[in-house]
Amino acid sequence: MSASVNGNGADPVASRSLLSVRDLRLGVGGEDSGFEPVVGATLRADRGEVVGVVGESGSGKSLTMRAIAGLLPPGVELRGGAIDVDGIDVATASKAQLRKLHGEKVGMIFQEPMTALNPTMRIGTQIAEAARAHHDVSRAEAKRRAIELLGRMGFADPENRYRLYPHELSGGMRQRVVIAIALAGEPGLLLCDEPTTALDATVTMRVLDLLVGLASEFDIGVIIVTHDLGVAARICDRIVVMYAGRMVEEGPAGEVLRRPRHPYTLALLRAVPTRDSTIQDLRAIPGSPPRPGDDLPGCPFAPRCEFAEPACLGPVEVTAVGDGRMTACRRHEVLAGMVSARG
Amino acid sequence: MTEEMISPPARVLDSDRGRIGRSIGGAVRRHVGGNVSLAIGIGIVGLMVLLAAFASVIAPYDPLKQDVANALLAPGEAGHLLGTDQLGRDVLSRLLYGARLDIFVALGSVIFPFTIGIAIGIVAGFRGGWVDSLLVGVIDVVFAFPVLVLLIALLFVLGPGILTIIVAITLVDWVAYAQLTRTSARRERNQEYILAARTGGIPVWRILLRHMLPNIIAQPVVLAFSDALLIILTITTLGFLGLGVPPPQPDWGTMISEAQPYLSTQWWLGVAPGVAIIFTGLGLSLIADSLAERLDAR
Amino acid sequence: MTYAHFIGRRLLHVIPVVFGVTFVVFWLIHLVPGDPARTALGFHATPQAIAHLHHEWGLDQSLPAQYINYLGRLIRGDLGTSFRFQDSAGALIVERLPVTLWLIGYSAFLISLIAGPLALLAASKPGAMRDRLVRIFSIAGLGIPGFWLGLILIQYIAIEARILPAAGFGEGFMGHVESMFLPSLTIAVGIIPLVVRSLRAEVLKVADSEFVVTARAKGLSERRIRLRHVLRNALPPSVTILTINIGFLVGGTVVIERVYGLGGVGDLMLTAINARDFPIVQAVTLFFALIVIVINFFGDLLQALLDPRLETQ
Repeated sequence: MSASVNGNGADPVASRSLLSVRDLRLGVGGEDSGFEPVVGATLRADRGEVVGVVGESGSGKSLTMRAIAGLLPPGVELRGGAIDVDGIDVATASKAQLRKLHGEKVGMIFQEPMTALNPTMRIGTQIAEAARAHHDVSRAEAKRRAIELLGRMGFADPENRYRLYPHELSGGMRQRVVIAIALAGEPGLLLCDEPTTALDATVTMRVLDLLVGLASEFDIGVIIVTHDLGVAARICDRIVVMYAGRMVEEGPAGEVLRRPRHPYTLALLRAVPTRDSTIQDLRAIPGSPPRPGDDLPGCPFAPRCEFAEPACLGPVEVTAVGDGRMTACRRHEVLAGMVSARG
Repeated sequence: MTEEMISPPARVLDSDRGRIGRSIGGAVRRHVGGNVSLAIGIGIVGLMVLLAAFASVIAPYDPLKQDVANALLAPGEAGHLLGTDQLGRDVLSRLLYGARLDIFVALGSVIFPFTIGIAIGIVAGFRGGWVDSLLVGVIDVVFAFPVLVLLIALLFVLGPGILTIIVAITLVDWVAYAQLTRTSARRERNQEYILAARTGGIPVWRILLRHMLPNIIAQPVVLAFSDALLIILTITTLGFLGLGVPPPQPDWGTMISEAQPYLSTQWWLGVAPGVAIIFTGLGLSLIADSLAERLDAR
Repeated sequence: MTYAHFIGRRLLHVIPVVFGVTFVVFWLIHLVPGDPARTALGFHATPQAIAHLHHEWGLDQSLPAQYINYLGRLIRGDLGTSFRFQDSAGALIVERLPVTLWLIGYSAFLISLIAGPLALLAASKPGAMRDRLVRIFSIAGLGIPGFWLGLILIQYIAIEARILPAAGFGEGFMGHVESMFLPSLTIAVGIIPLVVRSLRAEVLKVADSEFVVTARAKGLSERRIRLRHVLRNALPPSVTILTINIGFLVGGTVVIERVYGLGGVGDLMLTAINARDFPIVQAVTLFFALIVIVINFFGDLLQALLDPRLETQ
């Protein structure tokens, strides 16, 4: 199975880039009466790269993924910004382009593998039909590929497992089937929406290792949405932090997690228990995240932020802060000083 | 912990997709039609109840008074707005008194099964064990009978009359409410607010009445409206079959039955009570449908 | 769990229900206020006749003994004896069975034929005009009394327009198809609104499932998503929806047989009631409950065949 056929080899440097999302705005329920769950998401991903998107529930992570895949739930609309997936402009894509996007450019992995699988269809058929949707192959060939994928996903005896129904599998196995389905169209980009939330801790690690392995083996980009900084720290090359529908910080995983340049990232890190921290070190973030529809002038995190100054209620700009890092905090220098002073 | 602190948990959806999906669906349903059809339904049912309640004031004639000389008059003739039947009785007056009879028998036939069914269902669902198993058995058995067949058999042994109709319907119909309530009670009894109340030493009857009931009452209420519709249809069907309220009391079903020989010549005799049933049914159906819709949206 | 296991389990579930049903039917006689024999025979009956009936019905025995006797007779296929026709209830029912079974089958067929497409039409675009029309149709249709609709159809379709026969069972298969159309349609109209609503909700629920998003994310065609994913998964619950409403359907045959002058089992019940023929009322009540139980049983089996997750309960 070779997913790298996607690289057309024209320009090896330029073609590394797979995805670019700029200033994405998503709206719900009419221009005037509705609200915008995503108001400024910016994101990119390259081949072979694992990108983590972190943030609390309701920060717009999942919707951003749905928008990239061209699978927004009914009622949610694209109101601004641009999404480019490997040359396809998702906002203006034709029906034919969308079908190419689905499965052939982008594979999608969902949070709850039980509900993501059709309960009345054999798992093998579900994988094979995904392969057949994009490649003009015979049934037998599609079946052969599905069995091969099941084997690659770590199924022993894939020929017989092919005939099983989803309810006959464990949660971890189901999620592997979902991954196999996502890979069957040989996409360049894999979007994983909290792929391990429904799984046990031990299974989680194996599934994550599988995803990272796929990124390097097939040279595909993987985006993992998670609210778990531990997951992000373990497997991601780059991290994007989202808050209230906006990107607030972005950069190489190690840098962002060690030296955050946004108070929200810092707050998230402080809320994670580590081996060296005592219970006193853990801090819940004061206040609560803004509700959808709240009117937020300026920085959305300002009301909960210990570094906030009056100017934070003014317009927010995303600034580059070196090492390929971006932050939406105007006080990032104060923060940098403080974080390094703490060691 | 005081009782007031124990409130039912707000349903927390942790994926933003789920929450938005819900609020959109809810918003659409709230704005499209829901309120309008509910208002129309309440208007229709309210009107029928008023007409029924004030039948004695509104009705131009005595519904039982026969006047064979003026039998089978066409609508409008000799001051009879909807004409007269084969015995010269005023059709409009009979319709109004029929409304009184059918609507109030229906009301009684909903209230008793509603109350009894919920009481049995909530206790069985909450306690579980053999009480619940017994209830499930009884429900399965009663549901095995076609409602109309069991009602006819019961009326046969109990004899005719308004009271026996209400008793028979109650005997058959309470299981629907019991089943619904039992299922909800089983679901709710493991919810944290109930567990908290139990740990707090609040007496069981109070937990059921003050904490659980308010959280599970919505579905039975919706059922009551669609049930009222089915009961009106049932009562009039029984009247049509001659198993309902004994003549000469006017009942829409009996009126249709008596109109059968005249359908070719005096069609309105059969159409008028039919339209009355359909109109009342429409009102109840609209209420049930919009309430169900709201319940789903929640 | 294999399919045989499933059938066995359903059978084990059905047996107590059948016993419960016989118990209720047995008890009916004891609900009669006063002396059931006197009520049945009327006030002019002689004491000898009443005593004879007491003995015949076993009323001179203890209740448990009476019930066991009753069960024993049922097992031997003896449903009781009519005291008007002096014929066995079983024979009377069997004689009228074809009409009733035709009515049940024909109306179930019409319900599936009409309700299925209507529900799919409504669910294909929720909130659109077609959805609202279907909804209005089902809200309004729910309140139409079957007996009244029957009379109107007879009057205007059969008598005045002479399109279809007004009454009777008809001769031969095509004759039945023709003669039973109006009665079956009348029953169907009462049940279609219930079925359409549930089916529409079920199709929408399936269409809203995450696996449909998965199917879309695969890049499948809309057609394949609808057929292989949405419709396929709406099928098992549809069977349940149809069987849930079977009680209404069977109850409907009683009235509709009377309206259309069809001499079926329901009509036998009404005749028996007018004749105060208690054994027949009892036997027919039991028969109708058994019909519902049998149909529900086969509905469960069919549903399990359609759903690989056998353990549906």
